Amino acid sequence: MKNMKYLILRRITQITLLFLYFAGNAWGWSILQGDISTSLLFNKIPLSDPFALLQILATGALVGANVVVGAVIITLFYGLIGGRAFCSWVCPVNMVTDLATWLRRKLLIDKVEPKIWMSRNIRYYMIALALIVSAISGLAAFEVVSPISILNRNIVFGLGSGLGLIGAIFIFDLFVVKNGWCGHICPLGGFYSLIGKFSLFKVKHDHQKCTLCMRCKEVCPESQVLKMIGKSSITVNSGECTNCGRCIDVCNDDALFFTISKYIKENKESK
Amino acid sequence: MRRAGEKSLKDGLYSDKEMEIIKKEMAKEVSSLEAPALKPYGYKEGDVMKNRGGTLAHWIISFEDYKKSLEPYTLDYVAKLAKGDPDEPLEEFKKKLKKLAQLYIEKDRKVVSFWTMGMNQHTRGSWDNTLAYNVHFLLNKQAKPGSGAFSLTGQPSACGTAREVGTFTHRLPADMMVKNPKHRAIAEKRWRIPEGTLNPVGKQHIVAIHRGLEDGLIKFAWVNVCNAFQDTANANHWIKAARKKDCFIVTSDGYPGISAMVSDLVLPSAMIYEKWGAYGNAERRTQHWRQQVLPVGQAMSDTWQWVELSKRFKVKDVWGEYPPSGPRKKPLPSVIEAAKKMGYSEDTTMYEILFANEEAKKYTLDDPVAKGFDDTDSKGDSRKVIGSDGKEWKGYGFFIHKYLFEEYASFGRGHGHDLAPFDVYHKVRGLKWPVVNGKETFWRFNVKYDPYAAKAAKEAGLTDFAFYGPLAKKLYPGSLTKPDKTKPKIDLKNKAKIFARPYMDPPEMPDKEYDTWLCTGRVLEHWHSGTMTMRVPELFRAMPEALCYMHPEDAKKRGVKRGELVWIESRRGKVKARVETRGRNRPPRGLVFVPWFDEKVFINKVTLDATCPMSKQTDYKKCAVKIYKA
Amino acid sequence: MGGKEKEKITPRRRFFTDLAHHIGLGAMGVLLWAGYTSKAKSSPLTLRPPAALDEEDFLKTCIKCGLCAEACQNRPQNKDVNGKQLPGTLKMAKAGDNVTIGTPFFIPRDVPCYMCDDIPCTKACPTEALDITRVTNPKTKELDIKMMRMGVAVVDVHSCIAFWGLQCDACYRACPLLDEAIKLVYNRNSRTGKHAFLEPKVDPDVCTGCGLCEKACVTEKPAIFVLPREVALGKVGAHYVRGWDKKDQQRVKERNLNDITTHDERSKKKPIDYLNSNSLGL
Repeated sequence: MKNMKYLILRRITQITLLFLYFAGNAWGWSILQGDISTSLLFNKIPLSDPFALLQILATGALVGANVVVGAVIITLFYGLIGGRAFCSWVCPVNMVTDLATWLRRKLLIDKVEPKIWMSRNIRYYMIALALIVSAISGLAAFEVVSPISILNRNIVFGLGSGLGLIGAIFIFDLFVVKNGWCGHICPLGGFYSLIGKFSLFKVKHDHQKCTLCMRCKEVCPESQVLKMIGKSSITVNSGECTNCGRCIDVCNDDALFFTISKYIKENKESK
Repeated sequence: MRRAGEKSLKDGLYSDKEMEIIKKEMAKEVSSLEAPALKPYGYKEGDVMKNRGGTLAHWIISFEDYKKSLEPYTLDYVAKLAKGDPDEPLEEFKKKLKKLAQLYIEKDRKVVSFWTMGMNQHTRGSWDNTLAYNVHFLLNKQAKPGSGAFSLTGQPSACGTAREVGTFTHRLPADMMVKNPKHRAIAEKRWRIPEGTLNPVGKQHIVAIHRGLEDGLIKFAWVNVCNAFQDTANANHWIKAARKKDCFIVTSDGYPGISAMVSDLVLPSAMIYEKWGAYGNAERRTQHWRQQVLPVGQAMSDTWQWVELSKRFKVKDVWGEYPPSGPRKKPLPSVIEAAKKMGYSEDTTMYEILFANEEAKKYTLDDPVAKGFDDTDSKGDSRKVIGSDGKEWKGYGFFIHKYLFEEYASFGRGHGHDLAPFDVYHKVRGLKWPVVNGKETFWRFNVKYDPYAAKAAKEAGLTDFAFYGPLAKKLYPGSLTKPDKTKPKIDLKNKAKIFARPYMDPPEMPDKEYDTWLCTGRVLEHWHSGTMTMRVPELFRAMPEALCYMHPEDAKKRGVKRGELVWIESRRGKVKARVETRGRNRPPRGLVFVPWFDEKVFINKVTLDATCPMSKQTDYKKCAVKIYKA
Repeated sequence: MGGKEKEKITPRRRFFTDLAHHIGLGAMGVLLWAGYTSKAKSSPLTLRPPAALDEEDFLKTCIKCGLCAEACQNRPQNKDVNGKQLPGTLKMAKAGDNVTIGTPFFIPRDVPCYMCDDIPCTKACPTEALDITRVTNPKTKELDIKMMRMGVAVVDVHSCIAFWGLQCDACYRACPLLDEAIKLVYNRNSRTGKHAFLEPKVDPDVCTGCGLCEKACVTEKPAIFVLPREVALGKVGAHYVRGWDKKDQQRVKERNLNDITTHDERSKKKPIDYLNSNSLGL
């Protein structure tokens, strides 16, 4: 349990959010209504998926003010504070892909099968594609295929078909590419990587304490962001880090921890 | 209307709120609204009227007195009384009244006035009806092709199985009265029972039965072909009495309803086309049908249930002396000796006397009408239902339905109520009685169409009409207030009657607390209680729920949105219903309409059980309620 | 290539090859994705919530958040007499519904639109895909649900039992705009010679498409049903104008002359070519 603090916190957050969405629909609770594409917090504050809004705008549609306000709030929140935390603290697909990765480790698939390489930049191409296709087809392109909103809606509005896609992602992550969906393809993940780059919350490494056990790299879904392990004491600055805190959980040497990056840096310099 | 001294009132079974209205039923102060109408009868505002027995006497008044009774009804006064919509300008309404009057009085215009049962469901329902006939009689627009007052209330069972057949507590077949010893004698003779057997007091109408159960005066009730515990106003009392009091309630029905719910015994009954039967419609049309299908499960017809019951009673069990009971103040004599003289023994069963007698057995099963058709009652059926004796049911062995009909029909034949032979009704699509020499009668009392009228007219030297019939034709003359019994009676032979009837306030009217009229009724899709129709999938889909229809302003005033639930509360009870301000029923401000087909919106818990003193019908059309958000 | 030396790949060449590669892959992605997306559009028979933009704009604008469906289901009126929550009118499309996934729609036969006066679904929309101005009286600025045009009721006269001569009226009576949106037309029943047909007739100018009629219809499959207006209604075009109707006259003034065509197959040939065509074979 000691090594699972952030994991448990994340699961609690993810499940609580899903439950609140569900209750908003089923029982009319007004804490969190709507779904992951646009929600209403406390019956007042709109929260909107900025990437979905971008696609809508790409179709040439004019939209109401509420959704714009909602998208700005979300962009500011992740851009200034949370980083790419959406992916690991909110997104329901994260639970599916985490399970796939965990199983993959248990089944020793990486040790047995030859690795299949895939570019982690596909997601950025996907963003461009999504916007182009939206413009061409007049339909927010990622939103009609997004397994994130499909899974979310399935939970909020009742189960239906469309869960096949979730199964496909699970199998893909389990047998084909490690962290295939969240770490390579998902354009929403890519989008939050872009806006989350300069956020305050960051993971920091203390290489003095590091014993080079490499457990952090093993569990990290975006292990390329941990280049500094054992080398230098800096923050994880890549926007691709999801702030999931798994590396902190598994580190037995207190060599990784969350910081409010700039604030700490300035503090140190002033000393 | 209640009278002082009733047991439940003495026992304090009614709340103070309820007593506010019941007191008005027993004694009322003449209001300013009704004072002008009652002036010709010698009342003025503030006078107290008491509800006493014997006030239903009839006598003859002069035409001058009749005119006097109509004097108060100026256009202004009628408009004030009759205008229901507070938003309608009085002058507009007056114009409508004038237009209506002009249509009626136009000399050569033919007018038929139709109304349905709602007009009867008032504390002055009988008066309403006679007033409608008055208009037609006075204008010579009655009993003629294209003209007449026509109450459409006689749907299949109301007219055919109640009025004509005489299943009301005070009636015998063919318009004969229980009260009349001559009529009783005719019935006793026809039914092969000793003279004096029939109880001469028939006063236990449905509301009296409910009250009797509550008062503990009645211990047994058997509900057939209706849903009496859902259908009666002020239902809270009656359902409670049925469950809590020491009484035994039986319900025969094909579907469970509220009556079945409060019953001690539920008997599965065959539905309409699962048995042989007939009905009489409002236009006096009699129609018959054969059993079309076998009943479902173990269900048997109501007729069968009653006939089976008769097997359990012997002469010695039922025909001894009876002490006074309820409204019957005299004892009933023993008729056992008389029965013996008729050839019955003490052990003869009612079944043998009433049903399986020599006459009945003449109607054999090889009758061409019966042959080749299902008849569960007479022949049994392939379901092999276990009968009431514990053995497989194989039928009575004779054509019981033909026997029962022919016996009943014999009452009216030759008395202006002639029905065709049983067999004829299975060849034609219904005939309007009187059927004389094989021909039906289209316009009764009209010499041209009605052979009885023709005969009476010939005897009396009349030309166009003869309103024949013996009921209450010899009456004392008198003033508007009372008969003058010192003068000789006048014979109204072959004459119709025009009644002087005043306007009077209903016992309950909206006030400060209960500020809204409640009107109940039906919707097209459902029959009364919905016991059957709510189980027809398409009808249920079309109208699944009783709504509270309300004027949008009234809804706004109460802060209720369309579709929200409200409580509808009267002095007697309350129910929840959803508000509708659009669509099929758009009542004026100050009135809500709630149909009563939906047992989940049990609106008869709210309605008032004040009855019309003549018809004993409760007032489903108006009582006062308050409405607030649920 | 035999003995030739391997061609050297210059950085310039690498750049262009890479570019072509990426563009090619991108184009493939666009084609596949756009191909799927065009299929993901709804069946033309889809009924949208009140005040929805026209289908094309609606699809562009709807963010699939479901706030409308939640507002519909959780409106205070949507409870039965015992206080139990009833299913809402609006559903969120799932795969297999033949409706763009995640967008709101309704099936009147299941749950019709009850035409709430406060229109909670439309108010809830954050993107204005449900456009409140469409149900706002421009003069009084008050909400008017009667302005909504979700579809229009259509009667199949072949299976409507009123056209057989049976009195039904179920749709007529279910209609919240009784005697306005559906009227009963009396016609003589010549089969019996003494009865009337009471035929339901929809006025598309009044019908909101709420579907209470479809819900109430007594036939096994409803004989009256709501279709989107684009599907159910024709368009008379510029050539026919009611000369006796002042409002319709307005159309003459408003029409765009460029929209009017007077050409057909016969007009393809120039008159002179026609005259010289010798098609009579003389």
